[in-house]
Amino acid sequence: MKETDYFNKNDKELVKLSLQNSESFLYIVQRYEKPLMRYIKRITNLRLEDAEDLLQEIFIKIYINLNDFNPNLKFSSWIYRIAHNEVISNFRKLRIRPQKVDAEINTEILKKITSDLNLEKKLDQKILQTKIMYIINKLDIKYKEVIILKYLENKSYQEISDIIKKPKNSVGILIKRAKIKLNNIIKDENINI
Amino acid sequence: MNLEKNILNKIKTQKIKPRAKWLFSLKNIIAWLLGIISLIISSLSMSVIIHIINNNNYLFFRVNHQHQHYSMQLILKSIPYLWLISLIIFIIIFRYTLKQTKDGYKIEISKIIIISAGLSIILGYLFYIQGIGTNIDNSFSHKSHLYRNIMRPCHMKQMPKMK
Repeated sequence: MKETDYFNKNDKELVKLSLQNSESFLYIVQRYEKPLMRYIKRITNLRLEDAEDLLQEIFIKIYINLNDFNPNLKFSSWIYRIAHNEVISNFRKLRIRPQKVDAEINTEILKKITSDLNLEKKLDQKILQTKIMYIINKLDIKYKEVIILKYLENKSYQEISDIIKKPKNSVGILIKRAKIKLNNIIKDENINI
Repeated sequence: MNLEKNILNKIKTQKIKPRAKWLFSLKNIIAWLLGIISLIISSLSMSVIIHIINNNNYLFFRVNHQHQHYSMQLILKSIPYLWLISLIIFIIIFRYTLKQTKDGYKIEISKIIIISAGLSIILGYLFYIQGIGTNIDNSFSHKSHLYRNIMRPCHMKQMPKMK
């Protein structure tokens, strides 16, 4: 099969091919290494080398569990779920709490967060971005993760439900509580946005 | 890129293979089986609770005829706490095992608790009609003195004769 043929294959077809031949798995890696790396960086404070090691472990786990992929689920949700589990178990192993994260937030994401939190944008985008990330980093991991998945990773409620393995309604409640907590942090710390 | 090479190298050198599909199916079946077993045990607990409440003649006699001011105390004393705790524990285990199944996480906790409690009551009642609840209670009472003292403080006593 030519390389271009692989690029035209959808995720489910690539899973089938990877189960037959491990070399085909590289196309899954190519397709998802950037989004997964971005997700790991957004949620953890790992150094680049450690984040790469974690990403490698995640892909190995994905490969080992390929037969567990449920075709009724979006493949991206399934691999984000594995990444989520690995990140959480990595936290437990290292007994650290994710703290400072310098993730990039683009204008569109900023707009979405500020409008959803009913914030009036008075600041320059760069300052706003730093302040939003500072507030997100103050959240507990369970709230921080759903905020990152919803606003930064742009996942739907259904996808978040499949990733963190919680009912859709519970995801809605978690996001609602996370927004309240974000607003409380803004008030308590007197942050001008 | 390095990452891709490293992954492929690791897969090849460590001879890593995807786990067989049947292993995941087996895990799912075991989760369901454990869920069904915990539901049956919670139903058995419920059947014993129905039996104990239904046979507490002495308690109801006293509540209705003699010591009405002690009624609350007597009712609290006659609640089969051991079986209630067992019922709650196995409903929690049912909820946990259901979460381990493939799509179990999609069901709301409140729904799982309502469904499992409802099923425990229905199945428990059916078990009670079959005499299973009575048999379990009798069997525990004969084998354990402690159980007799804890579970039958009231109804083990002789019911006073009516004048």
